[in-house]
Amino acid sequence: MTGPVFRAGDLTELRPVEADDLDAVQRLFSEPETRRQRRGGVAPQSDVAMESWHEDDRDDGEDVFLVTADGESLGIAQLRRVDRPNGSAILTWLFDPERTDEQAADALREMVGWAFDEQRLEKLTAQVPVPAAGHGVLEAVGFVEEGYYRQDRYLDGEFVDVRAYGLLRSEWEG
Amino acid sequence: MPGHVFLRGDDGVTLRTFEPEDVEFFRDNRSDREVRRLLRNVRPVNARAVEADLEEYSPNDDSARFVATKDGERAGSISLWAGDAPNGTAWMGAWVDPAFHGRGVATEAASLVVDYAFEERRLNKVRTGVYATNEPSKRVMEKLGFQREGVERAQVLIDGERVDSYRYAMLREEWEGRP
Repeated sequence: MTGPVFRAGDLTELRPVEADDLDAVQRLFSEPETRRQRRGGVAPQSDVAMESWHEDDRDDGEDVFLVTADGESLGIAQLRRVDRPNGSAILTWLFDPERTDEQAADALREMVGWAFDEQRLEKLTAQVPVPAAGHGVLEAVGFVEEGYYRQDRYLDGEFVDVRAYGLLRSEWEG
Repeated sequence: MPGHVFLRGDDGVTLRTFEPEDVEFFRDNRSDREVRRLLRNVRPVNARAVEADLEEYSPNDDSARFVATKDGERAGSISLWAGDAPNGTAWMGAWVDPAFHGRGVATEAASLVVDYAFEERRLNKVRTGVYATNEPSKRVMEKLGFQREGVERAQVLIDGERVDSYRYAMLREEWEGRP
């Protein structure tokens, strides 16, 4: 059973991750094309590992969402390192390569709305390795480049650079 | 007495293991407004909390915590944390007891930790964040040759103001090639 809609955008929905969704998530954590987008993507994820991932007690605000379009899974999105006194968090996601940029931007906008309009956070950051896709999507959501981190990831036998982005609540409201 | 010397530097600076005898030193500094405001340590920390921290902490693949001493006296703390072995990265963070500010402890301690990260832990990159208002730490990073890789705008709340956070990093090839 797919979980209920928690936030709905124009093209996508954010839903809680249900046990039945774990197979779709495990595929994202396993397929070479998607798993290496995660910093921890070098480790294989068994069914047992996925169950413990699902049962993991996450701090408030760090809950994982299943991103869907018309009920079909497109991937997951999450805020990490939610820091209440500073009002900051890191936006992360892992999407199926089949998703369109418009769907990706729509889902990330819903994550930003959840962070700013419901959780009263002040600042979001996000990072994308230079060789990967996703820069245009972040810019479409309104993120601004804040840094260029040299040799920040190791992918396919070499160190690669990462672009860092940030979005302030005031920019979002404007 | 501070713990055993693990790394020995110049000018009487050493890095030592973190021991139960250091708890009071940590508690006092982590409560000191001058120190804690730049650590974004907004909650009161008592001795029991530091002890729990010590118990939870064990030097593993991901982190290393040291007490920095100057001429045998406890002067501060420096750590490598959030180590990411496959990507070859880790964070470095430090604080210095205000009684030892301006005496070169941070520069020498950071230099020892960077050496340790590259030569013993086989990391490729050491990163750190410095808040824009923290001029002494910015000078330390620049003196050591860390490159500023980004500015996270309005990233933290310090004394009621939103402050930028500067991201600095050192690559192994830069550290080895320095004059």
